[in-house]
Amino acid sequence: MKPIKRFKELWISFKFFRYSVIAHLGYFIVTLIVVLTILRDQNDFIIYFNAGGVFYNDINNLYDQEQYLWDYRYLPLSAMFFVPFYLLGFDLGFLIFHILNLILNILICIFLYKICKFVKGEDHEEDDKRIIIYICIYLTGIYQIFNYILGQINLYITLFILISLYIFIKYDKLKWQFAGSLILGVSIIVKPVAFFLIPFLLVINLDYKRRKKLTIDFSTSLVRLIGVLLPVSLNIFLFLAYPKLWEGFIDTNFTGSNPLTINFSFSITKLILNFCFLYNIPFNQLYVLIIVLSIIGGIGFIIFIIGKFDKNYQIIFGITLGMIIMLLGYYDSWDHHLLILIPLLTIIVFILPRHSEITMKYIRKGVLFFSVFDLAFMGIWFLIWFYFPYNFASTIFLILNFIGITKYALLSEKK
Amino acid sequence: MKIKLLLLISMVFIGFIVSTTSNVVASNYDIGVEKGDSFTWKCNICDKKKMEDLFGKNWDSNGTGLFEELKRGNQMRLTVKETDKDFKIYNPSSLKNEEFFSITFKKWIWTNDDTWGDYDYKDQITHYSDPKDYSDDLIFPNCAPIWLPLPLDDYLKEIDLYEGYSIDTRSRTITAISCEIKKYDLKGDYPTEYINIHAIYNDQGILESYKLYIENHQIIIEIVLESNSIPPMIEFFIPVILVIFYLGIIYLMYKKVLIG
Repeated sequence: MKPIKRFKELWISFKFFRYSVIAHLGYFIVTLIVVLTILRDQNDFIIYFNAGGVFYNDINNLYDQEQYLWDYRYLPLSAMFFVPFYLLGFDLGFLIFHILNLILNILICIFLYKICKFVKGEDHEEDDKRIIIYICIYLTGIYQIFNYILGQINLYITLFILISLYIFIKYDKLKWQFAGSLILGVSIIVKPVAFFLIPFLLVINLDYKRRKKLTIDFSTSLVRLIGVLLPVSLNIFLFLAYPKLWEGFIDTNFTGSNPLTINFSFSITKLILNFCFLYNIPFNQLYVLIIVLSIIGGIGFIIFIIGKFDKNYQIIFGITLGMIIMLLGYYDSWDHHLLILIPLLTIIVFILPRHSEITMKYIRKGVLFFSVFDLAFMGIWFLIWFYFPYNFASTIFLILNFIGITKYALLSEKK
Repeated sequence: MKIKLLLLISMVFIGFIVSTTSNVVASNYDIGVEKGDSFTWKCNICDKKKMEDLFGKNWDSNGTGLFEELKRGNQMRLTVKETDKDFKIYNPSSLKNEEFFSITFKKWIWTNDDTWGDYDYKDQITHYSDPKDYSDDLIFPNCAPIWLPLPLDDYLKEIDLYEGYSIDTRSRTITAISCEIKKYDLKGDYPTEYINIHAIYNDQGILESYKLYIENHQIIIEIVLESNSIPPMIEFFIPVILVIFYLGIIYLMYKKVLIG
């Protein structure tokens, strides 16, 4: 009952909160109407819906892209999650899915509030008004419209990540570390965007300045790795039982023709591929992906290892770095993926000192840009793509966030 | 009380929408070009030797004439003479008149003569009014026709295309056709190695860009629709101007709008 009481208090006393909730409900209702009328043939939910149907009726054809409007790229077990929606039929299935997305957003706000409260530094305001403002920014962010209108599943990932983070930072015991990573593993099953977070689950530090000593919390790291890989590895059974699935999965994700298509993804890999496409430079998309991921991922992981993080919060910075690496490195980085990143950046704002230069220069600007302007640049892309097929505004702000975290990690005096 | 009322109204509203929305959205196809419209394509890349290796000596004499006397640096022009939405052809095997969309055009085949002169011949392109009438496993001549009915993505989705096709729809990205063809998958044991065709269409359903690749995206043919409104010299500077403009906006946002 406590959250409901708090909601009522905020509703009465905080105008910005009231407007944000109304705006969000507006997004919810308008997008529902739009999907069920104008865009009923043009959304991502159809892909999930069909994947549920194929999984239910003929699993061998899960990666037969003839079945879908756009390629189905996720792990095979993810399709199982969509079977209930398929059985409900499109209209009712989408309505339930849409309402679930709203509930997920409410839960995300609750967990985000709890984590921010927990990590908030002593020099921050005593009241929670600033946390509420950031939550309101998250709720009103334009990416929410995009996520709802596409019928996307990013909110599941966001919630799973936040729950695992909450467990990781609040409970030290190994069984809880296992539970947290298990939840993270489930999020990878649902959508593999969280795959790049796995290396950042290690509890590892290299004191390169003073003692040049590498310390690893072996038991915690191992428990976390087992926890996260256990749910993911369940897919192996499906791959073994249906070998055609493995072939289709690899082809769709790494060697297929799809990445060739010019689009507005803001990942560095895609920007390079678009450049090669426009100027007819021969390329192998898999090599580009590997090179970009190795460079960004390598730098990110080194920073994670040598950075001077508070031991309890290293995981938060690690997961944020992993997410930024994924968005900068993988072929498809869309605006609705930012829904996963914004809560992580919000948490970092509250870990950093109240008047931190890093918050001001990097993190906060990133949060505001992603929430308000990012989608406008997608619109600009559609106007100018034939001459300039690069949507790199978000890329710049992702890099700025990456630099901000790097600075924080490497500075001995946190400011 | 207010919240409860709001929730109740929302539920009723949502229920109403779900119950009244139809499962079927009708698609009416149309011809996007008009009589008198003129289109000029330029060939930026054409590796004739490689095309001969891939498709044999007659590579430039089949299909819809897109490759007819194709040469790097040359241009091809079509001027629409007539469009017909109810063109009928009698099919002796089905004993029925089949309905087509048709455009008749004057064609100047690939040339480097800027004056153009008289057209080379008149020709016609037709597409079934109902895309479902196309045969299964369809491969278009040259993999991507010069013109397609609108809405192009809906039209293509209704055709049972060859397995190598993938269609990008406009809501996610631009309207484009990708077609991968495996070695020896076409009649006459062509192509002699893997090829990938990528074609982009404009709002009129006219081919805007055509690229034919072999492995590792090595380009063999590039054909682009020339813009009538922008002179080529200015076209060259557009990306440079856009980079400056784009970076300027981001810098201004960073400094002035997104105040820390």
